[in-house]
Amino acid sequence: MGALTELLPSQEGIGELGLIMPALAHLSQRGRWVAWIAPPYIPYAPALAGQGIRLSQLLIIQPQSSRDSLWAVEQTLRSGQCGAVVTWPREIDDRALRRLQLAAEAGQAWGLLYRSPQTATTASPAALRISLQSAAEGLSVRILKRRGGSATAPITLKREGAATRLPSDRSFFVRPDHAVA
Amino acid sequence: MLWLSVFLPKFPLDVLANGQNDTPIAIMEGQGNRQLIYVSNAAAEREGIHAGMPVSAAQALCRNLEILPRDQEAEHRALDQLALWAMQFTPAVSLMPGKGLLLEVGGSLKLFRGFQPILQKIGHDLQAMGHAFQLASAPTARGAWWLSRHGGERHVHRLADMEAALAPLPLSLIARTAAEAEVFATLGIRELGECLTLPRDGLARRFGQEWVDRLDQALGRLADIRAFYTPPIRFEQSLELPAPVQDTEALLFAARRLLVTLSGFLLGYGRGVQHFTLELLHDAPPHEEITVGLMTPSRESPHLINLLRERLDRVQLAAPVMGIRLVAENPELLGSRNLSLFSDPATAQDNWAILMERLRARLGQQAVYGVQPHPDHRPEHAWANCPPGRAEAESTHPQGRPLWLLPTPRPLRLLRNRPYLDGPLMLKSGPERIESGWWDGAPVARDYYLAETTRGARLWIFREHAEPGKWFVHGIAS
Repeated sequence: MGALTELLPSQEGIGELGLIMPALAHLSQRGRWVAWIAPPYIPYAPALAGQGIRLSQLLIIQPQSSRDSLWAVEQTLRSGQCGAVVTWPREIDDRALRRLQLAAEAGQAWGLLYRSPQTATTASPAALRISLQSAAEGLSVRILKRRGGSATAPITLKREGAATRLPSDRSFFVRPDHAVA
Repeated sequence: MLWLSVFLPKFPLDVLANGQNDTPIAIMEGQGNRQLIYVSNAAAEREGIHAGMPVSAAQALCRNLEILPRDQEAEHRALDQLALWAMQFTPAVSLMPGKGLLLEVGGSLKLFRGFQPILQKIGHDLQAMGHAFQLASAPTARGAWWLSRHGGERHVHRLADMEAALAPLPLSLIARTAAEAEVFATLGIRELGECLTLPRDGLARRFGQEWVDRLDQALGRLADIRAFYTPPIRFEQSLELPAPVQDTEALLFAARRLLVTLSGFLLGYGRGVQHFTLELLHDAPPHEEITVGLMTPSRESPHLINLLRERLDRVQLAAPVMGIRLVAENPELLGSRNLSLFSDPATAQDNWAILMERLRARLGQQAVYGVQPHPDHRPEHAWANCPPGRAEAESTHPQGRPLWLLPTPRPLRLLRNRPYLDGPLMLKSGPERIESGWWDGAPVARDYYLAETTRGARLWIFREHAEPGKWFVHGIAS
């Protein structure tokens, strides 16, 4: 809690959203609000419910401009009213990222930003940065940056059906406190 | 009974020129060559302009004096507004047209924990609204009114003290006409105290029984029945702006007055608003409207002002604004809370409501919503917007639905009769046949497949029965 996670998928549709579904479902089931700000497509209610999200705890915000989006992300993070705030920023600079980091700390909220893989080379104040690529069996996850550790070798998550499943010999899941086991 | 009198010495000026004190301005009354100055602002008074002076004389004294004709219609509307504001202190508000208000606050003392809190809040609000005011209080309405006309903020709370308090009041203040004051002057009577020593029947004969009755009412010897203001259930108050405005900050400043009034009005009713509309009046229709919606009803003016500020920040004024009108209908009943002059620390529910209202105020009502499933086989109709937090859960969901739905299905290119996107698509599962909607004019007959691109992206695609050659992407399985 209280920090930003950046997810850098090589492209859409490889399971980058499914990865965070268990965590979001868990938060929503426990009565915390989850906000999605400026989603690129329609969040499909039947699928979300199928993944365990309690829809009455889901807030969708669709601002008209990038500037309004960043404002909304900052407000929701800072307010402390949302457990997780997920957003797909079109353009965001270092200064804005720092503001969001501070807002996440102030509100003790988990901020998730989906950004393009090109941004992997630029520095970011996010506590956790994960690059995602498609792999034969499923999703290849590589941690670019994390608290108290360096980048690791990629971990592959097998896919089962429409969801991403954990490899049986390891427990890996993205937890709000950024511990990666 | 305890009457609090609010005398507004510059009321006609407040209404037309709202607190402008840099340039000399005066209000005039009368016709033709009988035009007299009725009231003037501080700047004009410094130039020697005073009430009762002929306009021509005033103009001679002060070249750049701005003279405005008195607008009693506007005063009437403004006094209504003020009465609505005053309702937060007591339901017993009596209007003194063109001059001020009388509030019977005896019944409110317990609620407000004494007279001082009421007095302070009234003074504070009047200042915020930009009115020059003189306050006084007494056990009789007329007595309080006269004391407030005199100035010096006298508060007399015992009937026995009334005579002494009223004695020094000049008769010119209390006389109903200039002629009446003249007569007293010729008799050598200048103060009310002297009047009281005169024989009553003599006074009644000379000046009318009414004059004696008024004295008796002021002293509490005769009943003084006042008509109380009854507020309308719909709140609609306008404010004409002294000059055309194109700056939203200035609009907010003007609107603040109306919102403080609305707040008082709502408190009088024990209600709160769930939405209000600020109409921006240009010199020709169409007028712009700004509607502000709230998640939970409220009557706190700082909160309403903040919400309006958020909305006004996003507005580009199409044309100069000549006036504003605040309309609020169907206020909701609000559970009463322990009132204090300063807001209580908000509860968690309040915090959520505040966040929601800030988001909606800046981004628009339609930008903040929840989603819920809808019982329909057609994928584009199987979901719906809903107010956040109100999503109705469904017990079962179809399997294999993508997390993202495209707003409209995107056509896919074909290569060698196979759908193509960044390379040929591999069909992973399907077909799932969806046929539905024949009853409402949007029939759907499609075969859905889960497909994968050569780069590993998973898509939810379909082809129509009617045109098997046409393929579309409908969703992204992320």
